[in-house]
Amino acid sequence: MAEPSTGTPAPDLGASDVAEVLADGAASELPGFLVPYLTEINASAAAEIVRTVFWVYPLLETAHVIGLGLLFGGIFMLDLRLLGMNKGISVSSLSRHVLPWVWMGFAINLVSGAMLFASDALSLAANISFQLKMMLLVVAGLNATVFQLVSARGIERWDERRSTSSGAKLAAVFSIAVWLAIITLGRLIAYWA
Amino acid sequence: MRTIIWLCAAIALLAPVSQVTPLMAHHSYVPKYNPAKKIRLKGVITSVSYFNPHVFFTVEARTRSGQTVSWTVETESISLSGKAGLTKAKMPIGGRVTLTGWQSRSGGAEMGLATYQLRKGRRMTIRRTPR
Repeated sequence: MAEPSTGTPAPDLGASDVAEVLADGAASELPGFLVPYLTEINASAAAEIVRTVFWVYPLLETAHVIGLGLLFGGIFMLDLRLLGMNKGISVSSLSRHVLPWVWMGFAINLVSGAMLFASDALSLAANISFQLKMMLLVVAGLNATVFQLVSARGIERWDERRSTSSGAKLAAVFSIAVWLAIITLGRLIAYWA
Repeated sequence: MRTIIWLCAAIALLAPVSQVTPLMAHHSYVPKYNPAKKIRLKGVITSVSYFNPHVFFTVEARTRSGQTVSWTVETESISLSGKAGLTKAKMPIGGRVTLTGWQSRSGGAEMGLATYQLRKGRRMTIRRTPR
């Protein structure tokens, strides 16, 4: 986006213009086959907008935090129920209440996260915190899938006012641990590269 | 209850114009600095705040007409700055430095750091992209 032109020359503050553009050194740390794709993402119009329109980046960061609130908030409440808290609420009705919001949070964070990633794709792909975060997102997804396919079978026997199955409890503890690690690693992208 | 809701709404509306902004902009240069305005600056370090989340320092530069201007320079967190070689020991008060970076959108004497070179020292790249 073009900068507003004032028509008057900038005041002399003792600095001079430079045209140099530094090469992104992250490319040398990445597997070669990924570099062309990441370079293309980094050069995309969307990435350029995130980098140059001053309000887009903070807007995406804000959306990412709101999405995280919906996503982790819902997952955490469901996990606490699986661990045996508030047995008066059935697991299936709590799921019905919570999961649409969890999916909405996931969608918000998928889109905002993808745009934030595009704005500096090479450096982020080479960032250790980011790599671990992406790996753990896959682990969290697998955990939820295994729970749905295996542990949640026979849910009618422990849906309400009963002790949940040990498989469900294990999935809940694992889910909380993985999500806390994902949040921590996301925050560490700026500190542990 | 209604009072609390109004209070939250007021805070949400006022936050962007208050001191909350630098924290919200955290780890991106784009809201604060102009990616299209890359500059070089030569001067003397006058103060260093080697703190998280971002290291800041001031550099006194001389204009063509001989006046001095104090620039405020922002760079990475202490861990990422240190990893790039920019430790506190490399930032002596009175040290002569040559810097490149992106100038503040306001056009004022503020810059987001790209490279750092202390006189007779090697040139360190702290940030390659203005993202």
